[in-house]
Amino acid sequence: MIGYLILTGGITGCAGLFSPHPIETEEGSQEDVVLAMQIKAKLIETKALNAAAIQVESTNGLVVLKGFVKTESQRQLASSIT
Amino acid sequence: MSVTKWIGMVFLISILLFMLLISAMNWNWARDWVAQQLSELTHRKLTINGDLTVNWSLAPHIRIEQILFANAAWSKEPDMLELAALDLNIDLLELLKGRVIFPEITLTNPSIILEKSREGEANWKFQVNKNGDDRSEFPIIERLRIQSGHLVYRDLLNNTDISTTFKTTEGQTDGADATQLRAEGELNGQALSIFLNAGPLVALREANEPYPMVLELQVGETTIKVDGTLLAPLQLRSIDLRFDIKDPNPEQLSQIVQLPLPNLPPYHLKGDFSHREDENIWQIKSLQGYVGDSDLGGNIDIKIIEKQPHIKADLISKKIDLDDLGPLIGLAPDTGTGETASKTQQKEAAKEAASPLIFPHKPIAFEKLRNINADIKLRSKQVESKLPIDDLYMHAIIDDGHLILSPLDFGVAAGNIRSHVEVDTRTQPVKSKIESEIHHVQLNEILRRFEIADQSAGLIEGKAIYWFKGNSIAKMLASTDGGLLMLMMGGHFDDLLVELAGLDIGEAVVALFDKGDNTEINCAFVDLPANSGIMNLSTFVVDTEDTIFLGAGSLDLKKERLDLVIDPKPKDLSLFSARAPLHIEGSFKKPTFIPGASAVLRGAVSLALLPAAPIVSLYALLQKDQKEQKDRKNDKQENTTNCTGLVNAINEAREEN
Repeated sequence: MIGYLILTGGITGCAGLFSPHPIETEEGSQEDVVLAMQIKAKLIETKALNAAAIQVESTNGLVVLKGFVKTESQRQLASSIT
Repeated sequence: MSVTKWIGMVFLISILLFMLLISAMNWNWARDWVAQQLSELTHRKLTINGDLTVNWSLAPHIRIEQILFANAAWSKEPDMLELAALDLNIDLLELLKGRVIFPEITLTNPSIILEKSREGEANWKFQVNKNGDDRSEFPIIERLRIQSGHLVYRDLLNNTDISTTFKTTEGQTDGADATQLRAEGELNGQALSIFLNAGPLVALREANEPYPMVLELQVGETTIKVDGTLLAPLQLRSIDLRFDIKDPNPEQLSQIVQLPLPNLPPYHLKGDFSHREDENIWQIKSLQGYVGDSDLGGNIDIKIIEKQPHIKADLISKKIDLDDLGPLIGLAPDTGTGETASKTQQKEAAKEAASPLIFPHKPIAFEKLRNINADIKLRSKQVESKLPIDDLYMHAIIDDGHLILSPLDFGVAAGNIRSHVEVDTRTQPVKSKIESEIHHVQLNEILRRFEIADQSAGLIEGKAIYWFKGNSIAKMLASTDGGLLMLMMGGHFDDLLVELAGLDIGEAVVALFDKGDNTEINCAFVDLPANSGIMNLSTFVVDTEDTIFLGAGSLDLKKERLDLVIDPKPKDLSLFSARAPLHIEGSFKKPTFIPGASAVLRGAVSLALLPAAPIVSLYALLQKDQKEQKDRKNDKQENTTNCTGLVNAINEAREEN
C-alpha cells in the first residue's frame, strides 16, 4: 500500500491541486473501498487534522488523498498515516 | 516683553497721563484718534459714534459707546461688528508693573457677523500692519460680561447659516458667572439648534478649575446631549461628561459630519465619556442603549497610538437581533412590522426579495478593518433570528486588516456551534477561513423553532472547515474549499413528515416512506467536501428502523444550484416497496422536488460501499471532544447503540458480497 498525499491549502496558501489521474470510480473493488475508509477513519481520529476536508480514494492499493490542510506540517502528518 | 507690547504700553500710559491732565475736557477727540489707529491697523473702517467717557480711579473705568467695525467689501452686510457699548476697567498699578490686566470688561449688545463668501473667503481674515502680534501675551481679563450678544455665522458655499444669541449671566447659586448660548439655523442644509450653558468665558483659560458645560445639540434628526466638565478646555486636558446620542437616520448624520460612518440602523446610546490627555485614552463607561432592535451595554476604551485607534471593548447585550448585524455582511435587515430599519436599509431589503439569488453580492466593506486595532468581546444572552440561535459569545481581534473571531460561539437548539474564523483583508481578494464544531445540537429544538413538535432528541454533532476567497458572501461561497462531517443520533421523522405533507414538497418527501414505517432515526452520517464552490455529497446515509436512505449529488454554490438524489433502501427486501428515489434539483431559492425519479445515483449504490469505519471514528472523536467540553451543563445519556446498528449493517453487507 502506498500512501500518496497530493494537495494542501491554507489560509495563506493556495487551493487544492488535483491528482494527475482523474479517479472516477465506477465501483472500486471491495478492498479498495475498505482501505480508503480505514484511512479516512484514521484521519478522523487524528485530532491535529481536519479530516472533514480530506478525501481518501484508493485504486488497486494506490491510495490518493485529496483535499485541503492548514499547514505544511499537517500535510506531512496526513501523508504519514498509512 | 516684546517690542510691540512695550510700545503699546507706553502709548497707553501716555494717553492716560494726558487724559489725567485734561480730565475735565471732552474726550471725544480721543475716540476719533483711537478709531483711526485701529482702522489703519486692519484696513477696515472702525467708527465710534457714541461718547468716550472715563471715570478716574486706580482702576479707571472707560466707556465707549456705539462702535462699528466694517465688513469685507464683498459682503451684503455693511458691518462685521456692532457694539452698543464697551465698558472696561484697567488696573493702573499693574500697568505700571508691566502687566495689562482688565479687572472687568462688559460688552453690551455686541452683534458679530462671521461670513464665508461663495469663493471661500472669510470676512474675519484681514491684513494686519504690525507683524507677529504675540498672541500668547493676550491681556488678562478677570471678568468678562456680555449682555445679549448676537452672532451670525454664514457659509454660503455649504448651505450654512446659523444665528446665535449669547450672554453671560450672574450665577444662580455660587455667584460665579455662566455663559449661555442659543443657536438656530442650518448646517450643511440640515436644521441645526444648539443650547449651551457653560462656565464663565474667562474660565476657558483656567488650567485648574473644571469648566462646566451642558450642551444640547440637534442637527437634522440627530440629537446629542452632553453634560459634564472639561479641564483646561482649550487644550482638552481632561473631559468628564455624560452623553446621550439619538440618531434615527445614521446616513444623514454621515452626510452632515462628512465622515464615512458604518451603515447602521437607528440608534440611541448614552453613557459616561472621559478623556485624559496625559494617559492618551478615551473611555466610554456604562454605555447603554439600542442599535436597531438590539440593546447594547458595556465599556469601550480607545487609545490613539501613532495615529491609529486601538479599541478595546467589553459589550453585553440582553438581546441581539441578528438583523442588525446583517448590513455588515451585505444583508438587508427584515423590514416587517416591529422591525427597526432606516430608509436605505428598507430599499435594500426590497431589492433582495426580488432577486433570484439568495447569497448577497454586495461587497463587504473589508477596507474599514485596515488601520484599526480592536479587541472586542460581545456576549448576548438572547438572540433574535429566524435561525434557531439561543445566545452568542464572540471575541473579535482586529490587527491592521487581519480579523480573528475566536471564539465565535452560537448557542443553537440546546447545543452549540463553536467556530474559529479568520479573515485576512490584506490580500485581494480577501481570504477567509472558518473552523467549526457542532456539539449536541438537537433536531427537535430546531424543529420546535419552526413549530414542529418532536419528542426524541436527535443529537447532531459535527466538524467542519472551509476556506473562502472573495469580497462578498456570494464570491466567498463560490470559492469554497474544505469539508464537513456530521453525525446525527436519535430523532424522528414522524412529525416533520406530517408537517411536510401539507406543503407542496410534502408528497414527494412523504413518498420516500412506506405507510407504517418506523421513522425513528438511528443514525445519520454526512460527508460533504467542497472544492472551488462545488459541494459534493460524498456520503449521505440515514439509518431508520426499516429503511436506509442513501443520498448523493452536489451543490453548486457559485450558480446557486443543486442536484441531489435520495434513495430509500428498505431493509426487509422481501416486502414490496413502491418507493423510488427522490430527485431534488434547481435553484437554492426555489428547488423542485421530483418524486419517483429514475435518476441513477452516482457513487455508492450499495450498502457495502458505505464508510463504516469513519462513522465509528467520528463518533469516538466526538465523544472525546464532549468529555473535554467542561462548560456543557446538560450531560444527556447518549444512546451508544444508535450508530452501532448502522455500522453492523454495513459490515454485514460487506461480508455478504
